[in-house]
Amino acid sequence: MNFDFDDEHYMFQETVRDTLAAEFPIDLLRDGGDPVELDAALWPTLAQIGLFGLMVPEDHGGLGLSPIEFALISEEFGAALVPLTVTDTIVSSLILARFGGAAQVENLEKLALGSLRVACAVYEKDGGYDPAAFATALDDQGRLTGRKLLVAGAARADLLLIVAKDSAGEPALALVEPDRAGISIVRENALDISGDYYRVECADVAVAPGDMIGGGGEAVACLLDMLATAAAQSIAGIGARMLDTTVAYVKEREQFGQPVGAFQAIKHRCADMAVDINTARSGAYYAGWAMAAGEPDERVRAVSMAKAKANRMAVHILREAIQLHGGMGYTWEMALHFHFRRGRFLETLYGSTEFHNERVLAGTLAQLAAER
Amino acid sequence: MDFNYSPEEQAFRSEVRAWLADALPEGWGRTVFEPEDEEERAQFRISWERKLFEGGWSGISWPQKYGGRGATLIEQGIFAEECARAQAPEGINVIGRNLAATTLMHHGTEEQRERYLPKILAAEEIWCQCFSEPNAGSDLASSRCRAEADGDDFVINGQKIWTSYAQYSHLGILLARTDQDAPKHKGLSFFVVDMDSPGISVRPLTQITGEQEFNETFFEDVRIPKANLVGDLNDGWRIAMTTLSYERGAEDALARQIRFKQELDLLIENLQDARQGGQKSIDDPAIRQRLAQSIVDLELMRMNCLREFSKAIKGEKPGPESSLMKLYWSHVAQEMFDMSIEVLGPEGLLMQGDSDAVARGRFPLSCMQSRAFTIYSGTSEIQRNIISERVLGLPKEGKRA
Ligand SMILES: Cc1cc2nc3c(=O)[nH]c(=O)nc-3n(C[C@H](O)[C@H](O)[C@H](O)COP(=O)(O)OP(=O)(O)OC[C@H]3O[C@@H](n4cnc5c(N)ncnc54)[C@H](O)[C@@H]3O)c2cc1C
Repeated sequence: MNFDFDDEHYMFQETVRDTLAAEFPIDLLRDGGDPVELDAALWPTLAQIGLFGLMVPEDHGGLGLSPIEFALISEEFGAALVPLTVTDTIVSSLILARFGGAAQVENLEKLALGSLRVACAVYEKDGGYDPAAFATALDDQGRLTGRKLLVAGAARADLLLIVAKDSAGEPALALVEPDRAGISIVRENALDISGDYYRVECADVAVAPGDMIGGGGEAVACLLDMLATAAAQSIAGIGARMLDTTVAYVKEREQFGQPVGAFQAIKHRCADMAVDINTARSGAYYAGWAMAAGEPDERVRAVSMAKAKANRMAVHILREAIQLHGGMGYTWEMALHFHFRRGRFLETLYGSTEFHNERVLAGTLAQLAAER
Repeated sequence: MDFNYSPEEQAFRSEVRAWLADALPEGWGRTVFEPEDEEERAQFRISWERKLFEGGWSGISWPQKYGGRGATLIEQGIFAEECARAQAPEGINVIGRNLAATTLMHHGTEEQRERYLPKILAAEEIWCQCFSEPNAGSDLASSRCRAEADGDDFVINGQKIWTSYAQYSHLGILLARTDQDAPKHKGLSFFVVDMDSPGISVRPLTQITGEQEFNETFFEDVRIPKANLVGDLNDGWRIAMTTLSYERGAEDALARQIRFKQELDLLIENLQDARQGGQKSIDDPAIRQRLAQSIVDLELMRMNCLREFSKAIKGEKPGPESSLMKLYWSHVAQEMFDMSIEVLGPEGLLMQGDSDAVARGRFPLSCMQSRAFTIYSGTSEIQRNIISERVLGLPKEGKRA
């Protein structure tokens, strides 16, 4: 039993943090720049430090690390607003390594080098969060039809990883090139403006058996759990960054002849933020471990605990961060809104608090029944 | 990072489990419970602690030379989990083990450790904490109880309050003023006081639950030998901070978490059998959401503790960060107990002794008791001051720029 990371992983986190601070200036976004440009500049740097190979097995040219170590990196992605297409690509490598067929596994080498971008096409209008209720499906001729929302970086993706029901009606994953006949990709206008999102429409797209990822429902569950885990971890990073920014501001800003941070009404709220972030971190780290090494039931519970807590924390911290900056907090210039947008986006997209709470309760009841 | 237990840890768990099964009476926790009378219950808990000691399970993470097993914090955690699983009684000498002993290990002399630690382990001597005063609660440093040197003794005069378990205690840790002129933090000293000394009187105070755990404690010309001074004269504040960091820290929190989780499991079990109107309570989506939130909150309380343990094992010392633990658990536990009576509905309001009471009236009692969580060991407001000033580095109150 050990709930800590190795020193070398903390060092890797530092490297990533420094790289992102140097390479990813928020100024460009503030000045109205397109996140696509930012992403274009960032991607090769991330590839250079081996980030895309993080969860690619060593015999495929990766670092062979697991979702445990990814937690620290994912936090930095949140803090620095790294476009979600980066996370999607890294998460896809885990899914391909675990469930991919022989031909699909071939992609891992390129993924590790950062020369392949994968977009995860998951959620749908009216679809909620449970893949059993998604409409996108293959017919018995192997034709895929459906419409996915908020697919990060889809227009630049080399491959689309699509959640769709197979011809037997079970949730499954298809891996297809975006230029296949019947696929159209349109940019969306989304709350998060530090990344680019697309609607991916599939109309009678031909999907061969070899395009399907093995593992069926379990592969889908793993993908969604890993995306939710990454979201919880990134939210932890966003929370920590917002607290640092807020503490620095209230130390400096003076009213009534003293730093506003000396007022209890302010400092006590900062303390509550610190408590909430610390706890959300515990959950997010544990979810990383459960993704790497937990039994499936424990994994589901751990991921949902992490995400439910991260969601509540996100709403709390983001509200306070802006509030404690006063009017400055409401300015475009102060740029807190980028984290607000990203944080609320992650909060809502990868499973609401209610959705994850329900999974936690169902898992707990099953566990209690088994113990009895 | 690894949440699996090593073979040694698993063997340790089996050993604890087997011992507990043997040591507890047949039917314990199902048909046999703790005595309902407070005084009898206190005696019962003391005898349970002695039994633990005889079995070699007291202070297991203490160094061997003080009678411990030198067990790791993780093993200590396993031990607490197994006690909870077996619904073993709580001890009464928590202040002795968790506060007096830990403080003496850091600041006591070798003689003091040899004198006091073994008897804490054996539950031969029960301890209380004489810190708070009527006019010095949150502002503990303004304590006025005085200790004046006189020959080989100090003579104590003053009053302490909220002294939990003073009526059962043989010894106390005492914070008293030894320099009237120094700034308030610099004139306090830390003592061990024999609670049977002439001049000490203890008057129980009735709590909101009707129970009498805490007391007023009066000191009138109480003589304590100079050898009972812990650390240096006038260095008592610093030493008391060590005491408080243990009181607020992860070891304390983990033991509590396990108890809270048991209560939450009991609540869930009762809701599975209960109905409200036409529907099973456990099928009510609003109730499910509230239960889930408490499950998450309590599981993460455990995770917070385990993260702290891992840091401590790496060698990090307990500091103001322990306030993060305490502020968190006290609030989520209070919320859980607040929720418990609401989701049980009308019958949730029946207390012990009523035949319709749910779980022998456990929940309304716990709900009342949980009011204390955010007050003792430093109120939430004080924890927030500590976190904001000493962890986050925000300026002190009233500090003009
Ligand atoms: C069940 C129980 C058991 C206890 N056991 C013990 C024991 O064994 N030994 C012992 O020594 N003590 C014990 N205590 C005492 C406990 O530590 C004190 O009650 C606590 O420190 C608060 O002090 P007070 O009661 O004087 O409240 P006060 O300090 O008078 O506080 C009143 C209110 O003012 C707030 N407040 C005070 N100062 C500030 C500030 N600077 N900023 C903002 N708000 C502030 C407080 O948070 C509180 O809400 C126990 C208390 C309880 C409830």
